[in-house]
Amino acid sequence: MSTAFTERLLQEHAALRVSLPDSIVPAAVRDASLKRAAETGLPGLRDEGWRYADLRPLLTATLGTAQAPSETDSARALLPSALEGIHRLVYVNGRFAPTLSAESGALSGLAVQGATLAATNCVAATADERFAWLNDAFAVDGAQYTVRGEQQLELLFVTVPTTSAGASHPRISLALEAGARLTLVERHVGGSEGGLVNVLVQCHLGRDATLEHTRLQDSTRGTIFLDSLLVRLDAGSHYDLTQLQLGAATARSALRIDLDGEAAHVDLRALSLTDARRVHDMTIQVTHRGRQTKSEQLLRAIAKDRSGTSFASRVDVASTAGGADSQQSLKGLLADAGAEVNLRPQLEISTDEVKASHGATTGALDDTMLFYLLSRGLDPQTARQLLEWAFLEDVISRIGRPELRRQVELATLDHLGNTAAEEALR
Amino acid sequence: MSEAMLSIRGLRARVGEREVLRGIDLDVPAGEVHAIMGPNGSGKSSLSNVLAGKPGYEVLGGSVSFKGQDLLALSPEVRAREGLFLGFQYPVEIPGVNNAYLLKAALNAARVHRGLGEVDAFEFLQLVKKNMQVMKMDEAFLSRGVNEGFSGGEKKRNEILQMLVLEPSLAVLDETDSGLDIDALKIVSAGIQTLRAPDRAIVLVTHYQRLLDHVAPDRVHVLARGRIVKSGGPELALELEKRGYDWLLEDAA
Repeated sequence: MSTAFTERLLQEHAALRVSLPDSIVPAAVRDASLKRAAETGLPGLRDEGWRYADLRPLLTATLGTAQAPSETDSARALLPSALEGIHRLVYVNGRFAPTLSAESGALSGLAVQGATLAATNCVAATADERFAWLNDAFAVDGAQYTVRGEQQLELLFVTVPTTSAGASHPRISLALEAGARLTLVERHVGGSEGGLVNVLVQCHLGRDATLEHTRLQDSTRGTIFLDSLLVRLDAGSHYDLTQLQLGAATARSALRIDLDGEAAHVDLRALSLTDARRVHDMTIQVTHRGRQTKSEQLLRAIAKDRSGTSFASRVDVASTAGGADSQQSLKGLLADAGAEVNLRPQLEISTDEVKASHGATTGALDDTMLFYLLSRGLDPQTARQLLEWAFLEDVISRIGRPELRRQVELATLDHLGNTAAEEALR
Repeated sequence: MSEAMLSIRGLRARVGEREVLRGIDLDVPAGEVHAIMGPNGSGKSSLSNVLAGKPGYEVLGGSVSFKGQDLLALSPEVRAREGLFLGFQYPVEIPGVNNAYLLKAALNAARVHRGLGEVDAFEFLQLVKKNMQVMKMDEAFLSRGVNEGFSGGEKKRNEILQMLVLEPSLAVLDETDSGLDIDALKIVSAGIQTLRAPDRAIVLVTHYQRLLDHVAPDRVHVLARGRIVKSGGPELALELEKRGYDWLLEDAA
């Protein structure tokens, strides 16, 4: 299956090559990444890191970027309400859409730069994030900024069906200067049946920089969603990530986070909700290299019907990372007998003097809690919905901006069909 | 004697292979407070749990009538809406579901069941605040998760607060006094006393006499090995305090 994919990849790229802008990805980088993507191909059945991903729909998907839609009304209809004080940039099918975006005046602290800076300072993709190379090869636009001072930014990626099939390759490259603070909201909405959305996020956090990042994948049901996130942290920097996987037919998200500088800190919370026959797969690789680095992970999955979710989270503590602190908490909730949740925490330590803990549990709702609520007169459905909410709210509750938190809560509850918790939160 | 609020006949139940209730007979009339005492493992909590309908208990025989209805035929939530309240020995922490919401949902479930409308927000808040004063609880508790991070004493006070808001016909309080210091015991006792009324009944399940110093029972029953082995007036509790349970266990064997 891999050979056919590779042939098509090369064909599609050859047809588009002249139209791909150098300003987004230099031609030499595109060629190198294309070569890697072609050589690596698609993962095989025995590829441990991809065991739970469902990539079959990719065999028929178009890889090149779709045309921009002729009108913006269908995209406009998909925009969530704006967040006050946060500058919004909208991309439709991977292309910047100025008419849907806020005025550019407020972007003073964000310097648009040559595409290379964040990419060169960032972590290199590996075969686990191989679709990053696909993004390099095909991306036609991107949000590429150097950030200084305190900034707030929303990047909204909308996918709408077009007459000719095509993919979307959202691309974010950010370099936070020393001491910079960025609140970043990244959302992916819309989609098309069998259409590919292939995201690449590259961030470099300079000394003492802070990135508070909320990512929401709320694609339509037929979408193939691939995602690579590569982050490098310098000394004293802090990366706070809340990631929600709610939609798509199949979604694979690969995160690679390198804690290079002393006392760098990542706080990662992720939630995956699946129903029907959806498949979500998330791999996380955190590498501690600096002394006194810290990583905290809180991963939650709820699987319904015959859907499946997988979290594979690996933490490596290098010999240079004395005093490192790593915590992983993975929990899965099986709402139906046919559902599947796979949790794989892994920890590899190459130094003494490390504090590390990890735990993984999968099961149904807690019977004791359920009985407590029933004994207070609540009907079983309400009780279950409240407990379902209680199971996941840890992931959402730490989103700092109340307005954003509210939007995320509602999107989540909507996916769950959870009316009881919605009422409880009112 | 008025008609029994709760009438239990020959109740037998098991958990797994173990028969924990082996023929209970008990009548609790409206307006009365009954204490059920007994050593650890005698079936006290099992009786509370069977009355509230906790899953995992299988009723093997006997009957329970609550306000003239077949209690065992009702689901746990309907038992609650009909006015049965179980005060948990170990109240459950449910982070993410806030106290105020649970109280309101519980109250409304009961009201709607009885054909009353839902309580309006202002009225609800008044009712809760009034009872929080009785229980000497800070209003900040309302916005916290159910029992989340509460101390043992706070959890028990929260149980009694729920009871006061819900005004049940029958309250079964399972070891509500365990883990309380003297001050908390007084507050909890005062809360229970508030609920005493001619149209209500209260069953205090307890291991010790000390709660009964504050909430005087009308009747005291001793449970041992899944059966009530002795019943009497308040003086029985005092006798147990002095003599322990052993003399009764010999009889029950």
